[in-house]
Amino acid sequence: MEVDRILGSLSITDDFDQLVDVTCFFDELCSKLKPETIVKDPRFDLFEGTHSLEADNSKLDSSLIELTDEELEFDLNVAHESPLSSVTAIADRLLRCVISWLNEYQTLPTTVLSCRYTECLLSSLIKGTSSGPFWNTGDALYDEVLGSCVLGVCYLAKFVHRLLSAGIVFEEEDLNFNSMRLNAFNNLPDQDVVIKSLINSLQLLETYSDESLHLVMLKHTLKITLCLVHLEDHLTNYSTETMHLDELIENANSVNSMLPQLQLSPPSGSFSTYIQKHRSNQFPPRQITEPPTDYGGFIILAEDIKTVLLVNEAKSALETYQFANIFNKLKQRHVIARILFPLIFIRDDRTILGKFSFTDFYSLHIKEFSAQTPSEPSSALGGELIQESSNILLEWYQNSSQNTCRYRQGFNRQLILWDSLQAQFESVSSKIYCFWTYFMKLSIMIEFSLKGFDLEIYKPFEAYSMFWYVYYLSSHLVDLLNECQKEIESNISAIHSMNKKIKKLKAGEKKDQLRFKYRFAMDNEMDQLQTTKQFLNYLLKEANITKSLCLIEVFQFGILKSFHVIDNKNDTPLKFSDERLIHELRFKPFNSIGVPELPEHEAFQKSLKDFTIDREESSFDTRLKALSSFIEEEVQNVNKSIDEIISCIKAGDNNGVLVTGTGLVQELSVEYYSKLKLTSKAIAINSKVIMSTLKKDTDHKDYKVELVHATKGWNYYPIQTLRVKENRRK
Amino acid sequence: MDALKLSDFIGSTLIVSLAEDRILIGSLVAVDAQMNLLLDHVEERIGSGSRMMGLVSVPRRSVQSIKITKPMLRDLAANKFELMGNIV
Amino acid sequence: MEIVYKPLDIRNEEQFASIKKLIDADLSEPYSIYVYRYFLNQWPELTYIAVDVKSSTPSAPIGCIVCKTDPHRNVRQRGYIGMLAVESTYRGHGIAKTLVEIAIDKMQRAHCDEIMLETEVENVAALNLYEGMGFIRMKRMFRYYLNEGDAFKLILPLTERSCTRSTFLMHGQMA
Repeated sequence: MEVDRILGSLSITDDFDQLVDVTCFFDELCSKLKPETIVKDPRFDLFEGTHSLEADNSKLDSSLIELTDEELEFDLNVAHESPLSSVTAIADRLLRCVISWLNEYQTLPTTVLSCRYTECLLSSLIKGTSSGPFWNTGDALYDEVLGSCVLGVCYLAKFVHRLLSAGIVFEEEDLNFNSMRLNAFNNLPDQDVVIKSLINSLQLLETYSDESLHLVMLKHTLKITLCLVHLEDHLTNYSTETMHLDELIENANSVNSMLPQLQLSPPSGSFSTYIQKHRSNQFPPRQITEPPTDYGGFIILAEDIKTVLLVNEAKSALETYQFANIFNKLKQRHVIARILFPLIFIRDDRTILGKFSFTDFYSLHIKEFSAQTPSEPSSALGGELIQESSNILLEWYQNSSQNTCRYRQGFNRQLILWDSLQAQFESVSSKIYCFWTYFMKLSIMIEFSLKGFDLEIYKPFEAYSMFWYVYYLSSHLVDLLNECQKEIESNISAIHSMNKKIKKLKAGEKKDQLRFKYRFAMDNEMDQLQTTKQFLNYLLKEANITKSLCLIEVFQFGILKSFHVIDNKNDTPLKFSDERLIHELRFKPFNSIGVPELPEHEAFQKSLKDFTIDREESSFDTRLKALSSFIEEEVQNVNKSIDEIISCIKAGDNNGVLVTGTGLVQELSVEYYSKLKLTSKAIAINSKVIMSTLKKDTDHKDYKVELVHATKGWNYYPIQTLRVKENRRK
Repeated sequence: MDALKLSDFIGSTLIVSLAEDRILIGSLVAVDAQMNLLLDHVEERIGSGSRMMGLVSVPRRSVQSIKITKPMLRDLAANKFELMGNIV
Repeated sequence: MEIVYKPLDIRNEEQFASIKKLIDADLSEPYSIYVYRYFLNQWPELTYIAVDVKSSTPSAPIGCIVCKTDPHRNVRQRGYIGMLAVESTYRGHGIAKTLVEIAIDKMQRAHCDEIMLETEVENVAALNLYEGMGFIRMKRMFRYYLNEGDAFKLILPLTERSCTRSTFLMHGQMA
């Protein structure tokens, strides 16, 4: 306690009577240490020390930040020259900082908190002041209008903090919330108070007779802030109202069209690194970010939230399933939309969209996939197993909103979970559960594998193994779906045969009973059976597309290998590892999977041999030609299937053959299949290029293969592109 | 004081003066043979301003002086002798 | 130019300082003294330096590699390459490659099952170097570095243990 008292009163000017200088003593003791020694608390792990700051190291010491005089002496209680344009410029930059923070993943201190007004408002809140004015310039534009804008931005930050605490995304990776110990968000006034202060500001601006663009711009910034304050409604009362989102888009568009005509420069010193140097700060210094020059980021934010809100309209598990499959797949959605999705979907009251209990939602998947009402698996294990399955299913839904890298990692974990589920269902022999669980597992395995191409995880030499494996997986998927389809067909024909039987039976009790049974089946089961049949038709088409595209890729690799431009292993001999180990490491995620069993390394090797043609063989050219026309044929089939799917999606699943369940995400789905088609065409062209290039060339040693993403194509199937090797440096 | 070893200072609060009227106050977590200090819960004082900086490494060349409060030094020494007393 | 490779002498404070200087100049990530203390003092045998004995400063490192080994989830021994740097005027002579080979050789003899490292997606030179030695990309990490780029996690398998999911290795151990 005495120590604390002395330290508390310590200042540079105080006399240091109470202190003992131990510098020389320390020097002496240290000089006696062996150079390799570190004296430390045994409980302290030096690893923690790797995260330390460092005094006098310009990269690690925020005290060394140099501020200009204007930044140092910036006075918040002074209305700067021409208040209208300066306040407009501050509000504008602050909003662009919000975009930088949320759309461009920048940190709070280098964006929103680099604004001295934000810092001031938050520190007033910490001190207990909860209503403005937070600064006193005597000018209403500063004190009230800017005040309400900053207040609104802080209110948004409070909402973002709430989203982050839900634990859906990763701090630092997806979103930064370093509030510099100014986490005063709980002291913020309620939403209605913040809204009222923004509306008051807007009304105040109405009294200004100024006709300038600045005034129009300032009104837009306030309206945008108002929309941002309303974002939390989508969580607080699960609002599906898009009015504020539409207004956000509208205002952002207006601003974008005016910005080029406006000269906006905030007063010097109003945005700076001041906060990093003067507030408690455990982070290395960082330059403040130059925010984007327009408001496009807000349009993305609003559009992405609108997309997520669509899930509220889902009427079936099929639709939620397809929604989750695609909403975050073509481009990574805005982080707020990505967090909102699972929170809106899986609600605090433990329901899905306020409509289903978790287990009912789970059963719905089984029902729609099998067209049978699932009864619980017979064994005592049943209830628990269903519970576990529904949790894993919800995790699958959550995974769909992860960032593009985490998405693949999530599946790495999921495939083990589904594998174990499948094994458990098999042990209690529950066919419809098994089928669906197996379907999910195979889909996840395929998605995990192909996503690696999108993320550029695989080297060209690995393309063979990966595509051959996915070909293998999708063959199993096709078999499974065919089996499911057979089951459905036989259920449908069982109902139809009842009708035939009825006609044969004489009138009587038996006939009436059967007629009743038939009617019941027609009224209650037939629709679902037909829908499921058509959904399975669609899934089969999809699986066959995957299978064909993988086969084409495999063939192309075979051709390239036949010409000796690539092999399925490193092109240089390895000192520390070998081909087989590397292969096995790549397939580590799958080596415990029961069904389908991971083929041995030898099987991969043997299959590649089958796809390769010996150049010495006399039939080389003919076989090559056959291969080439086979690829062409496959591509045509793929394109035909894609066209069928696209036209079905566009027609709203109304053609009586396919059901895609894409009603909520029509445009996105069409976009996805169009990309896929573009890729398939690009692969076909590539085949021709490969053949003609390599046939003409007699010495093929100068080529290598690169995996290239087709422009506007679908990155899961890269183009195995021939490149001339650059000459090695001598 | 002469009986004290470096390890005895681990965990105690050091007042480290750097150049230009800058003082870091923090508890000693580790020190190496070159007397580079690793301090935790560091409070920085410049003039009348004060702020927290967490875990900070302080290179020897930046250190102008290391000080410790008299009461804390007394406690350290007292503990030491008590400990030695126990052993004896 | 004549490059000689040798293990770190942890008792040589000058060497410690020059390694820090060499790496600080090369890498974008800021490292405090205690980052170096963490690696160099705990695994001094896994840091190697390259010197040019024909230069005017024959004992000054012109390249170095800093590694460690740890049990990974208690099921396999993982070697980790923390830092690798070669002075810009000495690049293009295979010095980095030799340093990596010496370090991996040492870690292999220390019974590592695999070698791991992270590198920026944009760092083509590093990717080429490691992938040429058999490292493969296991996963991509979103915005991993302070400069905001994605990173790849690279692994080189040395034994079978590297190729089995750790969950199943744990079960194996219990059995």
